[in-house]
Amino acid sequence: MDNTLERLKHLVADKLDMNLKIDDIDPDAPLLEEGLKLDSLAIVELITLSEESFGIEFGEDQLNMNAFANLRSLAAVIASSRSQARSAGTS
Amino acid sequence: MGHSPFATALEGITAAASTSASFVTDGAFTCTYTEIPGFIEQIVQLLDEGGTGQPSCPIVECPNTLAGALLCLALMKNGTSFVLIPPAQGGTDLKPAPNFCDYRLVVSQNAPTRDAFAPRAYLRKELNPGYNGRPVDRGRLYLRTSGSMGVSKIVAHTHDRLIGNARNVARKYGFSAQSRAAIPVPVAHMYGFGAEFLPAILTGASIDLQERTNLLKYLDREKRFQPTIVFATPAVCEMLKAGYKTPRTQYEVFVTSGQRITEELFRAFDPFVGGRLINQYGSTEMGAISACDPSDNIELRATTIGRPLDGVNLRLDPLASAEPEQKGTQLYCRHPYGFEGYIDENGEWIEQASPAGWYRTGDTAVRQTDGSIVVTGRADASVNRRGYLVLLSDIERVMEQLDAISTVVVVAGKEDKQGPRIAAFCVPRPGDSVDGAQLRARCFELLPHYAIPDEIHVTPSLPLLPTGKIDRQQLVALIAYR
Repeated sequence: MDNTLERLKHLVADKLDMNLKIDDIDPDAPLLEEGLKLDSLAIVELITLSEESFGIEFGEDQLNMNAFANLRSLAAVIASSRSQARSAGTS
Repeated sequence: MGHSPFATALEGITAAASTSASFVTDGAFTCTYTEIPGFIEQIVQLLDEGGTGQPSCPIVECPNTLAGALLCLALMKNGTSFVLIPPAQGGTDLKPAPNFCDYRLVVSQNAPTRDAFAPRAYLRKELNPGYNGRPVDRGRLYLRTSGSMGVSKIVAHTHDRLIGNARNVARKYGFSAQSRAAIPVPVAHMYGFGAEFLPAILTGASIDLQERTNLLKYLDREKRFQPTIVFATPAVCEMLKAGYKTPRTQYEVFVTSGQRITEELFRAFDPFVGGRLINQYGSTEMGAISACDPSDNIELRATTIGRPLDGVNLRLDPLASAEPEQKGTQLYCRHPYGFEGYIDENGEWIEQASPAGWYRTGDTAVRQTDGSIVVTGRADASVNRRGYLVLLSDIERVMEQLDAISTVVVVAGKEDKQGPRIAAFCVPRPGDSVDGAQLRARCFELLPHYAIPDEIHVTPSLPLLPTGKIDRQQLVALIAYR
């Protein structure tokens, strides 16, 4: 989980075109207006980047404000998607 | 105070809607059509306070909230002229008010609670220090054009013709009291206001106003509101294409406009909205001009703007310019509900238009054998960069002010996510030596951020056509193969 969060922070700093530095990224800051200020385009990009880099696909029920409240909540959703994918793969 | 045509229309609607379950919402607050007249009356009272009885013209910063929508309805019902602009984003900086506005109305972004839905709780009235005291006509709506380079003109519409335009759109798309219209685009622009909000109000449709939408917000609101009609932009289509995992079936019509949608995106997104995607052609000056019908086949919908709305005429004239990259014929429009003209910041006419006159759209187009129109580009070389329409000639004019440059030619290059890249080719003055990076740094001081060339090439000379004109095509080819 913490590992997922670290990877996610790097993803935002390195891949997302938002000029955010890794040290400035607060995992508990809101992703939208008041926090990391991701705009509408960046949210879509973050979804696509996360899916590609973690090898998952979000369900539409996961694309909501709670899951995308901040990077910590997003990391939790990604981690659970990955473990579900793994257990589905081994069964 | 005379009875405005909008007041009459609104009375009919609220009476008819009293038996329906139609409502207007912004997600936080909802009101029914039967409640609208009461809310409007409260706003009118507040606006009258401290008034001189003289016709006045406020500038209204209107977010996509119920409070903002009710304010616009109150002004229209009163026959009050007003300037409509979207709220300033992020900061607290106020957008400049034209000098003919006596005061400014700012709608609070924080939704008031239902108990405290008194206009005083969400509406702030401020005097405009630059007011010039010039009397204004009654029953007008003023909208700022997007203006390529900050030289914005103000477009004047009469409330009467706005209503005509709205009824036209409502007929075209079959708006009714059963319709559910989602508005994710700014209600303070012609597209959101004239082409969706007013048609929805005038037919008693349910309305969902979305302020600064994003994928997550849209999916949430869509689930709760179940819209049947939405007016969106290509950016919204792109966003939803990335987020939709399953196709939607509830849409009767899904309209995109604002800027041209690529055929590729159109074809990819159309199945997600049940094959009901429509590309509407319109402008701040003319409102809705032309569109396909949802029942038209995909070929027609993906490539054309269909047929003009009732009463609208389109004419194609050969281009006067001999520029090689501008093909086709120029599109002119005669519109029964078009604008009244342009005014300047002081309220003086710049140019008056008449419904009988032909309006130059600035777009090039061709007519197909079935009568449908295909828009092929801009007559004035321009690009849509970062969501802004930028005339390349405007950038040239500004860059020519740079001391070290004798000639500058700006062309549109390869597309990236923000639209076509802007490339400038500069010939330095004899004896001057500059490099592209220096020039680009200077551009940051002279041009708005969206118009700063993405690449600047310094070259001793420019390729010429046999006619002696600059060979722009060759410059485009130069950057394309780089």
